[in-house]
Amino acid sequence: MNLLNPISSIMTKDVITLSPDASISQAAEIFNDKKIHHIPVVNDMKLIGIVSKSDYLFFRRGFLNDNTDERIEDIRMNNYEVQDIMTQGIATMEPTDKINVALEVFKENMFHAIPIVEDGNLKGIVTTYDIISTLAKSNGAVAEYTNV
Amino acid sequence: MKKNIVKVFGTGTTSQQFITSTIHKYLNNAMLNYDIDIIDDINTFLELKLESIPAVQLNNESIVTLGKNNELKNKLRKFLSDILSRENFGSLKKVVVPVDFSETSTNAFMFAHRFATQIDAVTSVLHVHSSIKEKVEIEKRFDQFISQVDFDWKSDLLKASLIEKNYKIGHVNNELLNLITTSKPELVIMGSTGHSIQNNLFGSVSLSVIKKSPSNVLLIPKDAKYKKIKKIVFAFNNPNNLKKHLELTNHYANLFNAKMTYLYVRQDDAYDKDLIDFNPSENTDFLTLHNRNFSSALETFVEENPVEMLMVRDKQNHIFDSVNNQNNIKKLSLYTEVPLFIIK
Repeated sequence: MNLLNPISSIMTKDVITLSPDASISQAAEIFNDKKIHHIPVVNDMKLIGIVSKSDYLFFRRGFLNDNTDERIEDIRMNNYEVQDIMTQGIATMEPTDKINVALEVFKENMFHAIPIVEDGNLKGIVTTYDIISTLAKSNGAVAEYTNV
Repeated sequence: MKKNIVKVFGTGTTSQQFITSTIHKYLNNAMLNYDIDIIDDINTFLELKLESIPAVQLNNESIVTLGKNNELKNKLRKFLSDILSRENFGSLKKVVVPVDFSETSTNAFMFAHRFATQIDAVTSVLHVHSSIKEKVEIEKRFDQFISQVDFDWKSDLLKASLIEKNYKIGHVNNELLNLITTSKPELVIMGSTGHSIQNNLFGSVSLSVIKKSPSNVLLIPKDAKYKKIKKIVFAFNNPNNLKKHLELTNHYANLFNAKMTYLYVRQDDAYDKDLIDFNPSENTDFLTLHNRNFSSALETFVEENPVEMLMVRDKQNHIFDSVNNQNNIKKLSLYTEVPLFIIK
């Protein structure tokens, strides 16, 4: 992997998104079925936030015990919207930014996903998993990183 | 009369200050006259054998240690709820919601809790059981039901509306009207089962309460979920005495920062002199529809123009109008698919 390549070369392009007024149940379904950890929230293609699996689990924490009534929990989740739990003001990158910039951002921060935007429109997403996965496929990855 | 004292134990940390200001804010908003003592003397902690700080105490009752993070939030919430419930929540605004554990009423309860949070009100939940039999089991179920919602999941302390529990033995209709009369809530929120309403006890309660309640009523159709309220429609078919309701409709539009649409469903082309003075403020639309059937006109309108809340008036000026209006309200409560706010 060449760390000076644009981030667009490793980002996921077909991103699953939600609208801000989608219910938490819809987010739950995606987290459970698609095995992903971050869902960008968009309004007319414009990125307005991101909802992570951690946000979702934090919302649900009161129900994670033996006395939980799943029926009540379902109704509760349907009465909250994604915009109630999403994180706003998130770090973004442009498709032409270099991969090593993303590495620095991940190294310095606690989050694991960066939406890629162009003129405010969502173009893709890159996660720490994408980086590791690309590195694993690339034999000379470590050597290239040392030479940067 | 002996004055109540709340003691807050701590060493002057940010969390102690936050606990103190939160307790002060709630008791103040409820217009309850309590003294708050801040105790930061370590020797006192040792003397009282405090297990940990921060801790709180009402008068000379048991000391409640609050722990940290989520535990702190939940314990402080319970402590404040206990104090306030003894005082009937003082002058805090209330939203009353009856529940019978059905899906419709559970949904209305969730809606009510979110609505109450938005307008800084206490959610006053009523469950009525018809007989003394199984009292313990039902009360336990009611407690469990409430506990699944009565906590803060956000980082902000006491962000979610506090909950008042009302468990009664009797007839749901009577007990609900008693509660409305005594607590004078800002709003009564009830689930509506829609078309099957006439075969449903809870549905018949809704209609009866709409008729008799002195407080405004918000009906939540069984499939309506709480959505950020962005658009409100206030519909009327009689422009008489409209002005006195504009304050209320504007109040809710401001609370939710929602766009307000005034919809006049007129029966004919007659000139309405009362509308000369009707001058809605900015961020509002004024529309007219020609339709002799008020309820079906509204059904069609909200189908074509999605809104989060539809407001109508319960009472009109003349007896004939009033009878007509009751029928309109009944039809709307049966067929509406959006939350229906009935102004009393």
